[in-house]
Amino acid sequence: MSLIKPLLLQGHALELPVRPGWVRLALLLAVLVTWLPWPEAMAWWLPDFLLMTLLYWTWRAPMQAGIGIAFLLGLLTDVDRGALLGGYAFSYSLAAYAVLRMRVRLGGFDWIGRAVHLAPVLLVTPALALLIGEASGFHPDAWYLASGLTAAVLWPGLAWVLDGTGRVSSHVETSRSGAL
Amino acid sequence: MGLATSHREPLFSRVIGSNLRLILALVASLGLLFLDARQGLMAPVRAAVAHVIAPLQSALALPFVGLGDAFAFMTQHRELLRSQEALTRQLATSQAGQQTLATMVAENAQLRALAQLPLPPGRRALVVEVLAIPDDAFSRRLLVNMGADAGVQAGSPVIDANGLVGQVTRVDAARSEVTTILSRQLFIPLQGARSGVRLLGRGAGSDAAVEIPQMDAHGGLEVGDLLVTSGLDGVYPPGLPVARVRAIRPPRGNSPFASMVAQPVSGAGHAGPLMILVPVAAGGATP
Repeated sequence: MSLIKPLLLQGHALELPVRPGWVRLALLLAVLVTWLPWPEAMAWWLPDFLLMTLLYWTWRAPMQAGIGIAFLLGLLTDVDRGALLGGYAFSYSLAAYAVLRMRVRLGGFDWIGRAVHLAPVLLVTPALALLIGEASGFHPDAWYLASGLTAAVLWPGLAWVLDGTGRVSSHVETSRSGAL
Repeated sequence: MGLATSHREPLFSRVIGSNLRLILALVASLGLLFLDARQGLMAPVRAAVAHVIAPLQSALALPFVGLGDAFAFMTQHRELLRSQEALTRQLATSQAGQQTLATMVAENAQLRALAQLPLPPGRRALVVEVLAIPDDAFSRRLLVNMGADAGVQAGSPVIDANGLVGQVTRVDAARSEVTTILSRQLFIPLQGARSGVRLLGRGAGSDAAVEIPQMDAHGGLEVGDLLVTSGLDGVYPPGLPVARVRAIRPPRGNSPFASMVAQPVSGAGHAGPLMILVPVAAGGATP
């Protein structure tokens, strides 16, 4: 995100590894935010903060947040939402896998580009959960697909916030590397 | 995992690859789905997890509920208090007014009706109020607010706007006791208003019945007939409405008599204004 864009995609800017504790704390915060007593009326477009955070960390710190964490958090979401056990676990795992596959590619894009790449994942994951619910006899409201759209729109904002917390900015880094 | 971003990532990969991880996760979740949907085996697990997270969630919701409450409390408390106080006062005032009004309207109607009654000859009327209804299930008496000082005499019939209520049975100086027609101790000579058949009725001891224990099985009375005083005993002036026939029981067993239950037409069990028909002092040398 430097001012002058290079002609070719340059890959990751150098950054310090994220502290594992911080990843866990952020995920825990996301869970807590999801558990806040949101009004019923906004449930259908309320973005899945947990999924957004999970995908961010899967991209940033795949050793701390990957498919296993996604699976566990999916189970938690299943219980929380009263869905069939395994539905969200399935879709979260798949989403995490998708992000792992496009991780390298994501590094070459700015926030908008990353959001565009992640939008299908954020849109498909709730759809998948809805499909599983539908197939297993529940009949969820299709309006809940809107939450994927909200998540895709809000993801750059969340990424920006999380980015500012765990990351050493390129400016500091260059000055530090210069000092070294 | 292509890029080495974490210092923990080993040089030689000895962890499970992401493909395998995905397959494991998917298989596990599908298995859970199957167990949950088809077998219902996961209900205890789900219940256990919910048991752990439910208190957390409610604790999380608590500040918001409290916050909303506190906010509403702060903004509206004073206003609500003031308006509630005013409304309470207003309500009490208007209720009291309403009560008084209703009582007065009812009393007025009863007094009007009493004033329009034609008096039997040789009698004058004393309008009295019921002071108390003694709590005696069998005697069915009333205490009224006039006694010997006002000219009440024992034995005088007592009526209200609709008909006979009873008889004065005891007289004090300032109040007297009325035994109503509901009492089992009071016998009333009756007459069918339509057929003229003469009967002896007495109270049934209940709040709403006069019974005629013995009557001619072919007396020509029907349900709905009005029974009036016959005047044969000299206590009650003839023609005062007493009761309306409610049910006629045919003779039972060896008894040749039918019996009958009638509904008093007066409000004998209630406590409205009453009228005592006392003999005019000049008119009769009272016994």
